[in-house]
Amino acid sequence: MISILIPVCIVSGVGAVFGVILSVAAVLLEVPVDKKQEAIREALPGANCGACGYPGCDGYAEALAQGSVTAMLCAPGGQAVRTKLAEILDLDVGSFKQVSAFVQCAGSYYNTSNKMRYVGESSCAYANQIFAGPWSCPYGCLGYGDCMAVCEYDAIQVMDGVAVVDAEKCVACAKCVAACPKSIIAIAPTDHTARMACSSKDRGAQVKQLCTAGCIGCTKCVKSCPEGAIHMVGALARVDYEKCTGCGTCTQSCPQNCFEIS
Amino acid sequence: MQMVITILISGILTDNFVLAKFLGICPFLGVSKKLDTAVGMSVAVTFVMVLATLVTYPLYKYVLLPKSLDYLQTILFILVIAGLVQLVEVVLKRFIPPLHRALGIYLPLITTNCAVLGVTLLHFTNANVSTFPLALLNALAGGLGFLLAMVIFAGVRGRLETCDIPKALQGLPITLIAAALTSLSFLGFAGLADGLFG
Repeated sequence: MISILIPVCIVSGVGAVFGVILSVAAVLLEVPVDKKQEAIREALPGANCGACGYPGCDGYAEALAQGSVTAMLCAPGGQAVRTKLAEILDLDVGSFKQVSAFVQCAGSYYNTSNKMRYVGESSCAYANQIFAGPWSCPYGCLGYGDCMAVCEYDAIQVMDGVAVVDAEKCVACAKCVAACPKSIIAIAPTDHTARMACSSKDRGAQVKQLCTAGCIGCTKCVKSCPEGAIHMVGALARVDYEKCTGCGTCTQSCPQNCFEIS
Repeated sequence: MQMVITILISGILTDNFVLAKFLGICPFLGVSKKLDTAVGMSVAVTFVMVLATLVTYPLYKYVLLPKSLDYLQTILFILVIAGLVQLVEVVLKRFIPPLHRALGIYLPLITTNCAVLGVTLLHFTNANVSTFPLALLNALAGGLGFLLAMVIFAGVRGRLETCDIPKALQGLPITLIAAALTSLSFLGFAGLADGLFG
């Protein structure tokens, strides 16, 4: 009897000792966690995929709780997570913007011309090495579909020589952003936002020669925007998505039709 | 001194815990894709191995053995190791947050890792390990061997990325084959520890 009792007591004793130590430690050494951050973390899917650009769901929850980001960047979350997060963060669901990829170029076959005949591997990365590609504008989309090849959601297609993103299918995983050798794909909010479809660093008449849909750097959009959401980076207009309300004034003031409202 | 070198060589090379003893294959295959996660995991494993030995060796030698209760060692060691690792995680989170952020995610993974349990149990069947300090050294050597295996395999897997692998073997099959070949290569160290000091 005793020979059974002793080992039972030893094992239970060790278990009990550790139980007590851990319970005490859990209380004494508790790290104060922001309740809001905990609630946000609960609402997130917990896949730790990194599509949001933060180190896992914990990282994104921390950034949201601290207010350093106000965009809905969680791709796997979808509408359900977006509504829950908007509720926790006390934001109107409309202003908690869903994001998707956007190709900042409108240089289709109709807008541009060839500067040379390219005979080589049908890949943007390869074509980009030969004098920045066969198209007239050196900054624009090459249209060989490197982005299409990496997209696992079938969300980006090359239509008429320029890549176009289907915002419904896009989950903003940003694989196309990394794949584009010209780095002209960006993640932008999907609804009620103006998105600017040109990446040309040239200005004025030079741009007009190369592409009929390019930004000429006239700054009409900057002056007409009621929110002051557009600024010039050199000779190229860029939208500040935090300030943009999607009013559409820029689409009317731009002579080259560079803006589109989603 | 001879014993120190023998233990180090056998722990790291000849009797490598992952490649010779086939313990801890889960983290070996799971975390060796990137070099920095591999190193982080190995450091966490080494730390837990030494800490576990620190508590379990005296427990076995001075409590279980005298009372001829050595059959309890498996369950007690698991209990102790699991409790210890949890405690370490809580302490790290409170006092050294940056370290917790770097290593913290691996600690629950290695709580019941067979490599850690293996190290603590195999001290007692190893002829070279006769005293407590030597046991700690053996645990350290085991951890360093784990680190070596992980780093080498992370490199191998990096090379595999750029290779033209047949469709049927892509993914896990080629990884397992590569692991087997790496393990085979470590066979070359056999007899090194014994032959060193005559």
